[in-house]
Amino acid sequence: MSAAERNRMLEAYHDGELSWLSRWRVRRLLARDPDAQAELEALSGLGGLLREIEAEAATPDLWESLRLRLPGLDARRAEAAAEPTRSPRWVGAGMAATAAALAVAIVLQLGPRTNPGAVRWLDSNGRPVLVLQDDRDATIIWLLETPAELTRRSGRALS
Amino acid sequence: MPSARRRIRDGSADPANGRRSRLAASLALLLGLLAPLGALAQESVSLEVTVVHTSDAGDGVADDPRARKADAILGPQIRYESLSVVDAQRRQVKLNETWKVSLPNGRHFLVQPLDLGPNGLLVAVDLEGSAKVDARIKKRKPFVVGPQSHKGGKLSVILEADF
Repeated sequence: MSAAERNRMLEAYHDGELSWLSRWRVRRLLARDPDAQAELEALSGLGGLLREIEAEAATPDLWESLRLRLPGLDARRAEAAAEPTRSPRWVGAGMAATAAALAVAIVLQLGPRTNPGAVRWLDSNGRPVLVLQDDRDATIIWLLETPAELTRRSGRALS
Repeated sequence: MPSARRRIRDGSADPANGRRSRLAASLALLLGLLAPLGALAQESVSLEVTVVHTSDAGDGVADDPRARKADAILGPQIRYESLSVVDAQRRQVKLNETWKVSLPNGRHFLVQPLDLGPNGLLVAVDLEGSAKVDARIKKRKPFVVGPQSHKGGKLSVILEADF
């Protein structure tokens, strides 16, 4: 068996394209030839790499369609659970998920003018955030640079 | 037993009853046909995205109805010296469809309507790189997410839904 033919056989064996008899021949070759074993291992590694690349290429499209939907499902479940009593349990559930929620909770305790009635779930990447709702039912999600800004702005927003 | 048509012809049945029955059947059929159309109509909502630039430069509020409207929303809550609308788009978006709006700073604002109920529209919103929010917004009530840095000022996005 020439080197070129051997390589073709190994590739075909790796891809599962050989007949029973050819597979048996390749297995015999692998049993006695360490170089052939090494080539097959290299082919397996290459295959894994290609699969990884394909998976990575496909991920953004999938994520694009799902990334907004996943938290939304949780929000709907939380709404459904809270519906009978209209209790604000979702506030705690949603906000516990993010560090920013802490800032929201702080703001909520500052005065009656803030009302996060619209917000079901929030992730601000750990940044402090103000949730403001005015008399016109406008809801403002305002991200702050620093916790110090929270103190300054909350005083103005709630005055 | 004489047929209904025969009874009508003979005067043994009231013709008005037959007409009423046919009218009722026609109405039922019409309602049956229109009901799915109504359900389809609720499968999409009208969304409006307004991208606003605010800064501490003393240019004031741009002389533009949309800018004045944005100022009425942001002004009472957020401090700035100038405001202008850099983009405004409106489109019909189906439930569970993602609408991706490009922002002038190269990032995106994504919005996906999820559920329409008596308390409003549940939307998932992603101001790319800043915040992800799920909120139940009311009809034509502004929902603002921001800010992001842009040209020495800040970008905010105002979302309004009509359904």
